[in-house]
Amino acid sequence: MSYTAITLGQLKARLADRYESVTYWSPEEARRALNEGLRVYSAATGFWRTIVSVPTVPNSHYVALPGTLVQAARVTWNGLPLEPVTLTDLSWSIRNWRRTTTATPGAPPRPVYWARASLTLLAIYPADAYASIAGTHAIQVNGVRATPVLVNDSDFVDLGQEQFDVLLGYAQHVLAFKLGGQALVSTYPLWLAFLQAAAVENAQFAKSSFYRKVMGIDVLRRKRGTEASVQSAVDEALASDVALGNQP
Amino acid sequence: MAITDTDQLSEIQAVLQEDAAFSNGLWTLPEVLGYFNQRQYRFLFETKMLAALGTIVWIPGQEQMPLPVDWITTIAATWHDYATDEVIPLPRADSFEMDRLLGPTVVVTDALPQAFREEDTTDTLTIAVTPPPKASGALGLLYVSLSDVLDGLGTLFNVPDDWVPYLKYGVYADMLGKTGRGQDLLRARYAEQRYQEGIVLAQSLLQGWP
Repeated sequence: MSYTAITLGQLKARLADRYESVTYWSPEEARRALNEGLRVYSAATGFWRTIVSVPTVPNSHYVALPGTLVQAARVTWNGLPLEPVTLTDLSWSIRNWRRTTTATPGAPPRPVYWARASLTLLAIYPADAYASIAGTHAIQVNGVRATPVLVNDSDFVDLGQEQFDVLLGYAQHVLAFKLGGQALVSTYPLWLAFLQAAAVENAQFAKSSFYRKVMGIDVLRRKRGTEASVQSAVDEALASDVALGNQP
Repeated sequence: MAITDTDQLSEIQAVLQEDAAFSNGLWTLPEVLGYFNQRQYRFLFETKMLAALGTIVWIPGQEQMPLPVDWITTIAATWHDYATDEVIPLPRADSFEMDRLLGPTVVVTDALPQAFREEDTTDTLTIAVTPPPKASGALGLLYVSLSDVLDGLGTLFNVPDDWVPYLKYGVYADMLGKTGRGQDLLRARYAEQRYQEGIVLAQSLLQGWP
């Protein structure tokens, strides 16, 4: 089930409401800005998920994801989960894993590990030795799907309403790029709010130096007073006095 | 991967108030397409987001062989020994490291190569294995390849759709940073920052892999 509360047409109207004067953008530009917001949100959070069945190629340990999937997060084989590992793990802990299939004596009878070779390419171990017939010998990949793009005004926006504010803000910011100068700069907070919403979902991004720099977090740290290490009970008392505003 | 170059061109033209032929003379269509191609190549190089598989059939006794012409950078390499049908991983190394590991006596080995080198080769677009093998085999490559050339005729981007907006910002940075009447350094700096945002997001997804 997907969200069916708000349509693209309604969202475009709300976007226009956020600008007091006659809008300087066309409906098509508004649509593109909103779609860009959805795409960037997906890039940052992997919000839209799906599961697809991908037949394995006999004796091939690489599996290419179909275009509908952007990246994999979980892989199963006939309902049994494969353990996520890395190519390095496979290469250095399983001898000759690339030439091992489910038909190799001593090898597991089904794929048991998967590793990401790139965003859209997976490796499985052991490779499936048999051809897929009517859905057998296929892996099920649960992952991030392509962002649902809005085309017609009647298309529903598949996003929770609690995120509409940041999405509209981001679209407004994207549209201000056309004007440049102060108009663009004045919408920076809308962009930062969008990044902040993304960072809530993506801890790796939140701790990146890029994010900290853009959000001004590191600047605040620099402005904060240096904390002196407490060495003794006397020092501790003095430090607490300073903290309370008393002169030592 | 459903976004075409024409789609992104028309978006850029609308924002910069250009027509389809860039008639204002600030930029040309081949120039803008060149920016798109360069940004996509660089994005792939910096994120290693997409990978291609390749095999280089090795000539016994050779130390180095040509890389695929679409090669950007190597993610991982393996050696397939035909005699034993065994595939072993090859770590990345350089000649200094291998010289000190193997000593001065090893020239060509009866055993399997120990590592691969992309640097310290005597030619560009070349990869070497150390020590060179006497027996026949093949080098397996997992590498980042050049993306399809965007020619303004509706070619799809290779980068997944979610990251295409970031390529567009990279192109804005190139266009608006160009010395000339269209220069707008404030927007160029902002756009470059957005491009970097895309790289950071992609790297955060791929952290710890492969």
